[in-house]
Amino acid sequence: MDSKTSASPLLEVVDLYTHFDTPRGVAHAVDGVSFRLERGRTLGIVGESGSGKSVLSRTIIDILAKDGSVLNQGEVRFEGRDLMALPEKDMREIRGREIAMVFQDPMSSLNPVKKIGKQITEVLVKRLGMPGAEAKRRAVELIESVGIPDAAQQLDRFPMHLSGGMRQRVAIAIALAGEPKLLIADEPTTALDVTIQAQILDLLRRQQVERNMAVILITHDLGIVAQYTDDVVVMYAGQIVESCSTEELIRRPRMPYTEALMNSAPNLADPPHTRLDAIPGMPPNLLRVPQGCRFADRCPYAAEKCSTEMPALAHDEDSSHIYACWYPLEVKEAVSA
Amino acid sequence: MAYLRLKTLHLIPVFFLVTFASFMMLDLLPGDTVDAILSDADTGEIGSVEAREALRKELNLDKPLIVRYALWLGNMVQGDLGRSYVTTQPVTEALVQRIPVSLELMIMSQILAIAMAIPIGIYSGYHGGSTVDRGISAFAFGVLSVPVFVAGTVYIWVFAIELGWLPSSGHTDFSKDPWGNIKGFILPALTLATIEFPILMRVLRVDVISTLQEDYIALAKSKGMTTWYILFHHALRPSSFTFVTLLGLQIGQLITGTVVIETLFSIPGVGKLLIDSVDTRDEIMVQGVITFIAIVYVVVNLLVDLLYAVLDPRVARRA
Repeated sequence: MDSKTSASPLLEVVDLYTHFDTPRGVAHAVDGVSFRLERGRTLGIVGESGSGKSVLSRTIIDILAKDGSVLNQGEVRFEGRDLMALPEKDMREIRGREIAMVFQDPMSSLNPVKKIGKQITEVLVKRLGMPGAEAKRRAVELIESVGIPDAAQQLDRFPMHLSGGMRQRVAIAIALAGEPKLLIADEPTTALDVTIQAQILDLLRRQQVERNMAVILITHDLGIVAQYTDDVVVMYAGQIVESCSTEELIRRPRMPYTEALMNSAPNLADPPHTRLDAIPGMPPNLLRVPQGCRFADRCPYAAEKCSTEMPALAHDEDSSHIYACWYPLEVKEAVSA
Repeated sequence: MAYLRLKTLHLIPVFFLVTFASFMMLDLLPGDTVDAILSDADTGEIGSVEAREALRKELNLDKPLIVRYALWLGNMVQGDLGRSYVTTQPVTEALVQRIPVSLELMIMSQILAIAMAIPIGIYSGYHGGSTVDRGISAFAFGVLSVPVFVAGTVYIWVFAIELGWLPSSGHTDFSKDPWGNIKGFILPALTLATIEFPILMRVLRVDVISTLQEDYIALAKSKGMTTWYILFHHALRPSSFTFVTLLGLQIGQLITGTVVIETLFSIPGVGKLLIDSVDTRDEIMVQGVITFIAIVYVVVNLLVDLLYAVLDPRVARRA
């Protein structure tokens, strides 16, 4: 790593654990995750449902339940400050102002009984201390900036009056209201039509460039990762199994899980009725994680060692591409060739 | 507005059904109204045959049920609910005297019940499953199982007898002594509120717990809103549907269901009028009171339906 990036990244997650204490046992939702994100960059977090990516994002912004059922450990360093050690009062100052979030389903993430205007202005008034009239003007600007027509009229409308795509634009406007340095977008287009997806992602990218904002883009879609992210982290069963620049990942995946994810995506160039290479089996039960590699059960290349010993994240000498695998892809190909 | 019209139309058959059913049921009561009116409690005399027939004719009791209902309905829409068989006082006049008393008791008790139920329900829901929440629930169940006359007696003993802050019974006219009037209502209202707030609190608690799981609450948190603000500004309204429904039902009941309270505290309200009229077989008065109750039920439920639309704009849109 060069010295410039290692100085003080915007966000640095160090050995983060989030476990849920459930009546049936402890669920290892996030299990020792570390990564860093520089200012203005986009990090993709990719993985299947239940891989812990949403829990990870909610841990970073600290909005999980505080009733003792959530066990946290590790560090979330934001501009050098460890957010995990902050008291709730200080953490509240971070939320919305420094780190904001866009949720997956705009049908349920906007309050159905509050006017759109109010949902935007409450950030401006409560968090930025703007007077009401100014907040209204600013809300109109925000609504305009996310590409919703008749901005002034939208203030008095309810979420039910808008389509899914428009609601997600409102959600983005809400997130942008506090002028955050980091925006976490948790599957922001999964609930939307494919045609709307690109519009929303383009909007996010445009806002990111204008505001020099860093973005964590959580998705299960490697196509989105390839198009919209600079770096990528692949998560599986609560752990990071591969991490590198997006370009590198698409070109040379080392972890068999990443390869399996790529192969399971439908390809438009395939002839009709081509069978999809679905990944066999299910992700492990997070209440009883296996002691070896968590992907071993579903991995076509797994050997005996894989199910007994967990591979550590490691990287080759000449690159910063890290992966957790006893038999990474290229090495295996070299052996079989 | 279409929503309002639709809801109002729904209520018309309800009104007819209630008034007719009560008419029929009063008719089915064993015994003869004429006997009840003419018989002398001391001597057991039941009057001459002629006098009985004359009275029967005068009260239209010789006509079939459906005709009597039609006659009563015709008078009712003109605002005439008849005259008491016993005191000959017009039914409407008796109601007009009693309604403000019951209404004041009802309003005060509901304000108290809501004032207790909302903060405790929200607090309990926010800390759902915690020791405090379980403690509150246990307490609520305890209070719920206390009979109303026991609660009333305890309050009288503490606040009227031991502390001497409030009168133990009696009713003062508001126009003569406003403060005395309000003071007289505090204990009965508190008694009613005590037995009603636990249910309100419980339903609000359950709805708050489920609302707090919603994505929009997570979004409000991620905006950096305070817990207090999230609970009262984001969670309360979407959580208040069952609460409001229950409140409507309770208010309907309260307009007459306060007989015990009105007796215990010697308050001349509608509930007391109803019971006294049943005692004397004053059927026309009973019918008048029931009609009034039906109107209150219908109007309160209409208001509750309208309130749904205020609470959630999607309701008005769906109708």
